[in-house]
Amino acid sequence: MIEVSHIYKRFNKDYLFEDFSLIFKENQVTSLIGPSGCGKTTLLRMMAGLESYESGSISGIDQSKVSFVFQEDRLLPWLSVYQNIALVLKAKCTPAEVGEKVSAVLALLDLSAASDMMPFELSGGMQRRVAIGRALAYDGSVIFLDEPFKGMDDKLKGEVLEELATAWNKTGKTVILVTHDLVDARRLSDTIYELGGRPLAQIGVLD
Amino acid sequence: MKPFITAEPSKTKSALILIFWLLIWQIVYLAVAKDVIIPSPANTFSALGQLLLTQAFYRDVAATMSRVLAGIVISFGAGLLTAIGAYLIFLVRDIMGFMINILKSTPVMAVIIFALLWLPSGNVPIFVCFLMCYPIVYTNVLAGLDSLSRDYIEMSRIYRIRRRDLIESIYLPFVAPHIKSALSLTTGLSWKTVVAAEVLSSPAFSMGYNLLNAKVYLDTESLFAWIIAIVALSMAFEKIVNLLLGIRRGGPAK
Repeated sequence: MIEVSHIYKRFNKDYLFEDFSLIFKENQVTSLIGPSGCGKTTLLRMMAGLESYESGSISGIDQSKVSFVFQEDRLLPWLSVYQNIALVLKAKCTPAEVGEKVSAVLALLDLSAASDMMPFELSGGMQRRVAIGRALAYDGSVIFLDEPFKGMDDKLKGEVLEELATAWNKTGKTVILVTHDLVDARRLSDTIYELGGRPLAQIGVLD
Repeated sequence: MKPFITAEPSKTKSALILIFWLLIWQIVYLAVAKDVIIPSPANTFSALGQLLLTQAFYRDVAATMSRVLAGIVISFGAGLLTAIGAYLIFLVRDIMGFMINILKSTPVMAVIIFALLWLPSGNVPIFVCFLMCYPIVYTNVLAGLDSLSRDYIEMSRIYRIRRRDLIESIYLPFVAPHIKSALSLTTGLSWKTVVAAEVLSSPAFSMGYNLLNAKVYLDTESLFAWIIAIVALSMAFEKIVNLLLGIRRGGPAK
């Protein structure tokens, strides 16, 4: 269980989080939905250890074992699709294992044919899938996804959603997804938290 | 709209441009009609030919070139280290920024005269070259490091990318074009500063010392011959460096 407990965090002078608490079940997909700018991404970043907070605690996450799909793809433009994914595996896998894992993820996301392509040669949707593939290949115990379907058309989104649903079922990871789209959240999640207000508060839950 | 990048002239065009300027030189020579002020192109190239037949010429060229290389290597070593320090530590950035601004505004001659007071004459050109090239290297490398997006650093933190891979796959690709650009800029400057410093510090074996000698003895043909040799070597050096770096004339650093 991941527990976000009594978090206080300021944004400029005001509190964005004031005594904010939330619990995430392990091996489930939990979605956070809410209006833009309400603090969903900040919550994700705090949980991943990318952002500090004034007080409170976040427990149940080993921040050295998390994967993160950022809002931007953050692919290195001078590395191929294969190299972008392999880069995050080099520290913990042998070269043979790197090859196996990258190939498996590329196959899962239907990107095998694009293995040697450079990011600029890919469509926006394909780049997004590579970023998702990188997170899956890293095999973190918790996977954070920040608006992973941003910029995708409905057809592509449907395909990627399908692929992700399959991937989660296979791996049984703890996944925390930030989205503003309730339909996407419903298709993927076991639990949906609706967040809003300032300071941020949980204003609803959908199981 | 005119293209921003100028195309490299063809060999024929280059030859015609060279002939045009030689003709201008010949016309000026005929108009002035005083060998001691301006020698003829023919006499100058004859003096250059004689120079090329002497062993001393190659010894002096080697000495000057070794100073140029030493100046560049020291500038890059110091520039890289201090730029990395400035990137990592704000205090270093502030301290270095102040010094770099002073160095950028300091006239070369002031540096040479200052260096003459406390360095052996052979080392003055190296020191002067370093002081003139170092700010360029520092500024370029720091600009390269600063251009690295925080997004990639965050991504590398999340995925625990090894330090070696971080340097190889993230930092170097960002900084490499800036290092190339610094090297391209410093190659020409290094020759100018080294020769200027050699003229004033007069080390025994140097191209600058030969320039000074030719001037003292009013041997204008030799003076021009040495100038041509210096310019040709500087241009060849720059061309070789750019060739190695894959930079085309008029094109951006890749």
